[in-house]
Amino acid sequence: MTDTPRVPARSDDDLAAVLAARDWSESPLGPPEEWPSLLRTMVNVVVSSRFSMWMGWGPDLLFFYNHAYARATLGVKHPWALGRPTRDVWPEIHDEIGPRLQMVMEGGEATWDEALLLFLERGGYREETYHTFSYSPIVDVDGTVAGMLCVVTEETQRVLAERRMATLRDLASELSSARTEAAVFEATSTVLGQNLWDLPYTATYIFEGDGAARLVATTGVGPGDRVAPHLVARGDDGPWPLGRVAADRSSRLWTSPGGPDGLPTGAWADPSRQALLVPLVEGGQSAPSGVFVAGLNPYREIDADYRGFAELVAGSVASGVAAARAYEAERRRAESLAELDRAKTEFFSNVSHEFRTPLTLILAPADDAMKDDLAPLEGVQRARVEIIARNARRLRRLVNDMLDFARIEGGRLPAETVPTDLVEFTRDVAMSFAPVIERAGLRLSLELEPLGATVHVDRDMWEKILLNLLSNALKFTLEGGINVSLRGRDDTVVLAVSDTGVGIPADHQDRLFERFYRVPGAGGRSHEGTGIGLALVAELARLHGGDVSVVSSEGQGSTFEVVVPYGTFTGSTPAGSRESSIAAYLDEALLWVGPDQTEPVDATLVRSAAGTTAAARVLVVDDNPDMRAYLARILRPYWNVQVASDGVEALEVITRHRPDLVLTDVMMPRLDGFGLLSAVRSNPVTATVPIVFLSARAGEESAIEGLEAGADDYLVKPFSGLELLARVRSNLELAALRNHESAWRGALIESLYDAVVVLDRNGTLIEANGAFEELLGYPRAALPYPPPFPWIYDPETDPEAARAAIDGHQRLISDGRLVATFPLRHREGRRVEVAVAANAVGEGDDRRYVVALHDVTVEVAAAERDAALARLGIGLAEAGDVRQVYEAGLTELTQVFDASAALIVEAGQAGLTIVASSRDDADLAPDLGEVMREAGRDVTAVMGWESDRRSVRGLAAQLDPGRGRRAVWLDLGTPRPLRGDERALFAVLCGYFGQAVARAELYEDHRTVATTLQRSILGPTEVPASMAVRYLPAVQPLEVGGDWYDVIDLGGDHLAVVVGDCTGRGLNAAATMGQMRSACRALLLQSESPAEVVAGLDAFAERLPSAMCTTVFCGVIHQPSGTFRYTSAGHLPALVVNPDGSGLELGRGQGVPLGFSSGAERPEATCCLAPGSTLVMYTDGLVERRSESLDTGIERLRTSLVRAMAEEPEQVVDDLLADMVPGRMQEDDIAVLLYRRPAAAESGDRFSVAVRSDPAELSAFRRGLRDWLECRGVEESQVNEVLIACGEACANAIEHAYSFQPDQLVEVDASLVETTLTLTVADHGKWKEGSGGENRGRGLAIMRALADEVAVERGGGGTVVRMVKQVGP
Amino acid sequence: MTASMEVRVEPGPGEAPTVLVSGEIDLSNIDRFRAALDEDSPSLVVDLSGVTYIDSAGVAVLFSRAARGPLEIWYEEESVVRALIEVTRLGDVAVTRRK
Repeated sequence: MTDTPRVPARSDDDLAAVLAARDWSESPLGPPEEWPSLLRTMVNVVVSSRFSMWMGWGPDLLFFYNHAYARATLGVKHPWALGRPTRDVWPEIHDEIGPRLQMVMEGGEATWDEALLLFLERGGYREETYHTFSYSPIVDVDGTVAGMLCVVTEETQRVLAERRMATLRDLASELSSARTEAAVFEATSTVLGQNLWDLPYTATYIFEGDGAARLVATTGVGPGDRVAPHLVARGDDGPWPLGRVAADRSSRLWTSPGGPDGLPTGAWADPSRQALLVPLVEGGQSAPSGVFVAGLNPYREIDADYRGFAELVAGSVASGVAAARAYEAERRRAESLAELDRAKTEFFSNVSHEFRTPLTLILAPADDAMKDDLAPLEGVQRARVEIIARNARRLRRLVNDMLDFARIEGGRLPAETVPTDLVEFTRDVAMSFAPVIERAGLRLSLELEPLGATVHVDRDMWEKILLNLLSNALKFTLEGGINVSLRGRDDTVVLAVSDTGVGIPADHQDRLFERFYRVPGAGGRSHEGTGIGLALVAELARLHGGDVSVVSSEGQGSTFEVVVPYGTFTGSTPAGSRESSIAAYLDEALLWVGPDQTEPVDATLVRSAAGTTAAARVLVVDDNPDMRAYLARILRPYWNVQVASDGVEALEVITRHRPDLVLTDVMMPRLDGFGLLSAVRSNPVTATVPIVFLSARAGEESAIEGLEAGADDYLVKPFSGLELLARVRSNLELAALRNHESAWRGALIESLYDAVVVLDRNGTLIEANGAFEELLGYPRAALPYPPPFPWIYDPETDPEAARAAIDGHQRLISDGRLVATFPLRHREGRRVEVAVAANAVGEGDDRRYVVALHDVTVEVAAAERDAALARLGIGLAEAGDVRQVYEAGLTELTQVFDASAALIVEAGQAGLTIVASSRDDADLAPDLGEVMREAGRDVTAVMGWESDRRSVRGLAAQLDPGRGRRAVWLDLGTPRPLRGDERALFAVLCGYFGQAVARAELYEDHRTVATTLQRSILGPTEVPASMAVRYLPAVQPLEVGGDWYDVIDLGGDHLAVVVGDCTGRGLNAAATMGQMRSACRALLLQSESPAEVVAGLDAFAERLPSAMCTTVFCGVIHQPSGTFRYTSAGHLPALVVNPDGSGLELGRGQGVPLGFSSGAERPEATCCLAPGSTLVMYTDGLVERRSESLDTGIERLRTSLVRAMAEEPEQVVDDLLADMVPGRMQEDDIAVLLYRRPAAAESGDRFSVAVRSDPAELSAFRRGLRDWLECRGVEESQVNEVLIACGEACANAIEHAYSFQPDQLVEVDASLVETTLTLTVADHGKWKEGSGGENRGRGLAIMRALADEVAVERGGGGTVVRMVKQVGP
Repeated sequence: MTASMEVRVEPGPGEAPTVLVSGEIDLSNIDRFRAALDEDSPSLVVDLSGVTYIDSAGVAVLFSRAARGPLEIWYEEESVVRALIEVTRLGDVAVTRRK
């Protein structure tokens, strides 16, 4: 130890001067020369002390104090207070201190109070202060109590700072989980309500849209109070100038309204007369979102700290509000997008379906009226009905287009591509438009080149594409012509429709294919239109894997080009089962070009021959090819004719498509006419088809035979063509009449939105409407469907769904009625939820079951979506950091969509990378660029259409909309079609997911800032391999703290290690910590003694109030010997564990925390770190647990250390942290430092150093050797002997071998095996013969006397002295 | 770092002044030690009870001082000083006394 004071000169001059200057003659004490010597001594003690203290003398306790007390406590009462009675100095706290003073003066007992609240009036106002003090009696020689002495520490700043920090910390913590504004305000109320000292009352106002401020939270006062009105209108300041504060964007001090009576008091007795009004401003925000009114503590001045506190509170609330608003906005956006999507699709399909029924009921009677030969429409009435019918058809076309859109959106309209002679098909469709184009005075030209390969298209779609382009061209071309061209390229087929029309302005071409987009003011034949046609063309082209584009110049014309691939076969339903759209398009086009003047001759003929049956389908069955061709040739101009060569083939055709009439020969191979007749009649679907027999056999008998068998008519060969036509027509008309009623019913059922089916008594499905076909994808052509139905789930793959449907079917058959909901399997594999309502009609054989199936997939999906959202919410709420959020989100997405994997792509500096994935395997490698592009295109994007154009590989969405930095990719594994709402669900889930990621990132950012700050003032992170260090900030609430570690290489084999803990949290603690660390570093570079260093820190802490109570464990390791000298200032003991698992707590060298023992020596202890042993120093966060004693915690640490011993230091620290703070959810910050002494290279234990040849080095060398010996249990007297012997050898080397030349080395090596100590001291110098003389001889003699053996080897290279000595306990 | 040594001279209980030495005495401060013992008084008391280390150079100073006049050496039991006194037979030329 050294006597050099490490504190500045005492600054008691001021008080000494005051004492001297005071005229004491007026005082009861008289002039100082006459004071009792005890008083003089005591006054000297007090005045010269640097501790804040005062004393009272005599019965009146006349007041004496020192400079520290005057400065810290007395305030304006200095120097007035000097020598006055204590009761006059401190009347305001006499109630508190009076009894204590009495106890001291009368009972002679000392008192002790810690952080006692005292209201002092030292600054001209009543002030909240905290003091820790003790009163002790001053006892005179005669044993009487002559006065009392008070040593006092003012702790006001500490108490206030801790209280405020706690509030800020709790507020931040509560707000971090508040997701709505209401939750923010509730959290604000809860937390601020717990600190009514600093904030006696608060009122938080938020500005509404109209500028009025609405009260949203109060503490310490009821809403509606005069300091907290519910609403403050704009411009009306009410009690507070809220508007002005918001406009200034800076806080303002304001007097609480009205008199002091009735003002809130918070935790105090007096009202809070002043308030600080702080605008709620969040960084980057343009206008304050509100104003925070903070009622102020009447007992504190509003200083920078206090103002800062109120502003930090307001800042927290403001960011809470901003975060909640952002969250809410983002959530609403995601939800409304999804809702919009869902609503739109539903709207289209519902509205369209709703239109279809009335349209059917308009068209059917109108057509009936026009066909009615019995009561024919004449003249003007016919014209009117024709207009009705034409427009109804046009409307129906629009409705169908919209339905197509809805189906495309919902993925329910796949392209069913079949091999097609596209040149022929295109020509047919184009030519069907020719008459109307010609009538418009335009030319139609075709350039259809033969195609190299077969093209697969969906014919209905292709027809619609072409018809839309043609009608569009016709509409906008007033003169010139329209050209249709088709040509093949390598991979694609190009259809081009060019016109010489008005053209499209360039600035509208981009949007031409958007739905409902219409070029404004475009001249054309009609202003009608929905803007749906070209959008439909684009969708249909895309469904083929192609696209559409346009080249146009205004006034010149336009060319639309559709490019599609050759395609592959995906057809499932028989071609031609859909109604052709040509008639509807023609109808509309005819409206544009004006009334028909020259009806084509053939059309007239058809009308006269076919009458009202023109669209009918007639099946001709004859085994004679010539007869078959003849019949077909006669009938084909008027009806739709199919042919079959015998009964078997005919049945196949009939099964595929029900004809309206069958014309059949009687005699045929395989199955004759009668066989065919009975087969047709026995099938309920075809039972009513009229059948006309053709026979070469004349005569009544065969006619009767045929008619008895159930034929409708009978024609004997030979017959004339006209006769055949007449018979066919009349039979068709008869059948139509007969079926009129059922046709009406059929039309109604057809137009129903819900699927309706009829089962026979055995449960076989014998009838179904179009909605059924659409619902489940099974064609009516394949009726009847006997059970088990193919749309019921396979019990193997989905037992639950299968059971529900099979149960339903059986219950219907047994009970005669059924109301149930269960899933069915669409023919394409997607799941359809249906609500079923069914009833039985009729009895016995005629018993039928009428079943209505309502598609509730959307509703079920909505319920599932809500459940998925809830699950995702829970999963994400449990996640802490970004990585956990990724994991939870991806897992949930994968489950909800039954997908194979999900991953997140991020665009970073290294390009696109996968930052998280639900699976690790490498085959998860989508084209990342494509994922980003697709995700950027829409909220959700479907990716990877399969060649069948209905299945997708997966979905992509942006995770951070607007920034485009990250995207989610959901891999469905096996490509499958999407349900209509799956995209919307995906969008919403990704919206939530993105929110959670953003929150977690924000949190991590904060944490990174905290950690970075700490690290910037913390010790080095690069440490020797023998060490490992860690700092972990507190997690909840996230804050920098006061813990630190430090490692300093002191040179000369010494390594200083320090771990400390400053009280408090937050920036203040961190700043204090930084200063303490620097101070400790500086001290360590001056002294290698831990005790001296910490004593220096004491002096430092005394001048830095926030450093009081800091605890430190400071040690110096002598690395060659493993000697560890340490001291602890109130810190937890370090632990040492030896390789064999034994260990100890370094509990010696224990002193009080810093700042309490200034000037006193610090204890220092030494221990020996055995080779391979591990030293761990740490702060309390590592071992402290609620509901657990510290000892238990330290024991846990020791156990954990023993377990991890075998690992390298870095790994040991990681293991310890994993053991001690699982999940890293530490509530306090943690600093850990670990040192591993290298294992001994050979047997035994060595102390090996090279000492510089400078006498000044010897002292330090001896200390090292002493430590090494002592901690190996060598006895004190033996240690002394070794030190002397070795010291002599070293001194000889310096003095004689090196002749005091500096910068040479003396190598000392000591080894201890069992109790045998071997010492060698070697130099590389030259002995001058004869030097040294008596003294040198004495040195050798001393060595010989103290060691058991001494050998001196002297050579050209130097001298080696070897000594051996038995030591040991 | 030079070995720390403090030296104080007090009037002795008898005629001989007492030189109180504490700390370490080695090659680095041997000159100060020698100077400290260079009192005019023929007889001298040297109190080495606060000395934690002394080497042969220190002993040599003591021997030479003993040659100038009566020398009394005080030392602490269980100390380096005692060990060295015994080994060098300093007791032959000076009065050695345990404190």
